Amino acid sequence: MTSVSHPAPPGVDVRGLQVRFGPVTAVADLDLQVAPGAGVALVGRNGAGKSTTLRVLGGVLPPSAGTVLVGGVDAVRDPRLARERVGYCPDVGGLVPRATPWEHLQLAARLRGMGADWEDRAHDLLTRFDLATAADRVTAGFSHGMGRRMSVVLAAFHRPSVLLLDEPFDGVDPLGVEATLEEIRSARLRGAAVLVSTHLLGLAVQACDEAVVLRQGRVVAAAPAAELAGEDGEARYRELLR
Amino acid sequence: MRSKSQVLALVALRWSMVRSPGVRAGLLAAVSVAVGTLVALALAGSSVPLGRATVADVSAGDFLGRAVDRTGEVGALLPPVLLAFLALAVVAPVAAGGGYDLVPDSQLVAYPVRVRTLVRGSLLLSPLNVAWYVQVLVIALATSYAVRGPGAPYLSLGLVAAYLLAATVVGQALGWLLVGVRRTRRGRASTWVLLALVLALVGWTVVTDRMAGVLETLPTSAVVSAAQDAARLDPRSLPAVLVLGLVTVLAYLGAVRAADWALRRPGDLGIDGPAARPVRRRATAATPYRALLEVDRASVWRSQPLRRGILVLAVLPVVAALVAGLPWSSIALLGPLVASGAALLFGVNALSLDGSGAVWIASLPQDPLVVLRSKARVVTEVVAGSVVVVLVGAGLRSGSWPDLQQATSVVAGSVACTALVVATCLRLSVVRPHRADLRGPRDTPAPPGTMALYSIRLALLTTPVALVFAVLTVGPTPAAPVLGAALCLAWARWSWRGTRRRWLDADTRARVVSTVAAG
Repeated sequence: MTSVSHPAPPGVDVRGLQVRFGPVTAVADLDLQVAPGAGVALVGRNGAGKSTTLRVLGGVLPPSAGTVLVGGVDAVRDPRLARERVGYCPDVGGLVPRATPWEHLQLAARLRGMGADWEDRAHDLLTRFDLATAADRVTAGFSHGMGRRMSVVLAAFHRPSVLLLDEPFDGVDPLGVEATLEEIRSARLRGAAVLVSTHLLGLAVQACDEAVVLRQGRVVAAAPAAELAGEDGEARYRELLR
Repeated sequence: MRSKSQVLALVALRWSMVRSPGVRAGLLAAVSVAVGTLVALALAGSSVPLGRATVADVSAGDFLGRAVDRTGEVGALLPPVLLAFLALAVVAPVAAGGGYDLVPDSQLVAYPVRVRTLVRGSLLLSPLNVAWYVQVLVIALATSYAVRGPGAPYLSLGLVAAYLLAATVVGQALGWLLVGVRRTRRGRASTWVLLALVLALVGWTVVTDRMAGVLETLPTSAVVSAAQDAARLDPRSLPAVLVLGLVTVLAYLGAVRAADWALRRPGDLGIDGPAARPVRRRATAATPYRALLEVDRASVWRSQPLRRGILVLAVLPVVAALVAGLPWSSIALLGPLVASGAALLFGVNALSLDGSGAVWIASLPQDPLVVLRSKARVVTEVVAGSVVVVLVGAGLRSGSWPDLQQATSVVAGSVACTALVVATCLRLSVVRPHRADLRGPRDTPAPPGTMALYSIRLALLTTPVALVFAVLTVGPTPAAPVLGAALCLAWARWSWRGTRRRWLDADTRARVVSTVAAG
């Protein structure tokens, strides 16, 4: 659906995606492509299907219909391999309440089969996201913003080829926002496809070069993110939401 | 809004949150059966005809169906049973972190809920506890049978009911008081000292053979005497009614004051208590399964309500066994009962241990079965651990080594019930998941009504099995309990395979993960 032009096969290739919860259709016939190195912002009103789409791409939710390729892997046929390619920051929480950030990273390193250098990467991320001093405290005591930052750390930890961030800026302080933007830039530079769902249009514009607007589970518009910048962009976005 | 209106509103909210018609029907049926059984037993006891029998023909009379008068024996058991009820009424709210929440307090922070509402809601939920209810059944039946006279059973039962109400309210007051005391380091230390003193006192009483004498001079004998007076239409029962009424009112007011104090009192643990303290790092686990298991174990042992629940489960039955000095046939019943109690701590909703992290874990590249196996292991550890502690404690008090038949029956019964309980827990966890924080002191793994249904379900599962193994302690052969355990293990394995099949279905897994991670 989007018009990002890169020669390599897409990092994310979704065609005809449908997700139904009983009588409720959360996502209806959605097409979406994100090329390696590209950043796409998924925007839209509450209930538009953004988080559901990311949950499908993250391998948490099976689609009702459609094909989902992440990092070139069919997420339905080979969900385990697909999850290896993906780093996913869920929209709410996403942390085991009575485990520490370090224990989350240990678990991720073991389950992802990361090499011995994972500790260096973990230290680096915790420092950049200002979580080093809280690395051994259980996450139940974290503020909402700290939890968001930690979720981004976990998503980016293994340098995935597809980075999925659902509301990564929600309640995060400016330094945390800067660290997240930097991680998105770094992921794109190494060729990862980045998909960011957010209500903060200004940050979406900074993080991504493409914006896809969802409404009632369908793509209603796609445009270069820069076109949604400024007051005119805001006005156009509001128009698209109606 | 008045407290009464708030309680009604919270009950209505809780009822509206029971979405499944099946669960609603089950709850209504359970309440009807529970009330019906209580009324039937309370009236049945008094209608048992009493005859004259010598000691010599009692057993023959029993077998021939002739009326035998056992009111004296049953009446003598009433004071310790009433005291045991008081102990439970105190321990249960203490174990629940003060009381029971109609709606978790974390979901009510934005609303001006009065302390009276919390206390009344907690009192309302007290009967949703199998131990509380079973004791009330036993007391009602025993009183109805043993206390006879023109005013029986209604007046005598009424007086005993006044005692049960007073004991329940006193328990609530003490529960809230203890929560307040434990807000500071000194308070926590003093409650540990108090617990140690109580245990030491019980131990000393047992070791010095003073337990029989203590049981004969229990203050609850006065309640039984008053019930007998009431049955005889003797006005001397009136002061007891007044005293019990006064105790109830004062305890209720005390519970409100204590709850208000406990909820306002600033603690010394900081906003997040132990959550603010750093924990020691462990070496990275060798396998994904071990890595998940370590996180799951930490989720159990770092949870305040779970730690407290495990402690109560380990200590209370041991103390009861020490006091009672149970024979091996009764010890065979203990293990299964403790197993079902341990399962209610978190096992019935084991996947909620991951909280909102369940979504993140589901996005990791692992075999989904590893997650379920890890949960099964941690539930088994807690259930089996509680059973072992209780069996050892009760066994030491029994004063004799079990013979081969008894030992085989006790071990086989405990293994069988542990396996069945764990299998049931995992099935419930996958089929009926709930969001549960297990973080606050009064958090439970499922809503109160569901927990009541779960406790009934587990009791119906373990009680018959436990009774069979208790009977097997007297024969016919040690092979019988082994065979029984093998059958139960096969049943548990069949249940586990069904749960495994469900869990491997991606849609089911997504539903479970979304539910436990909600909010």
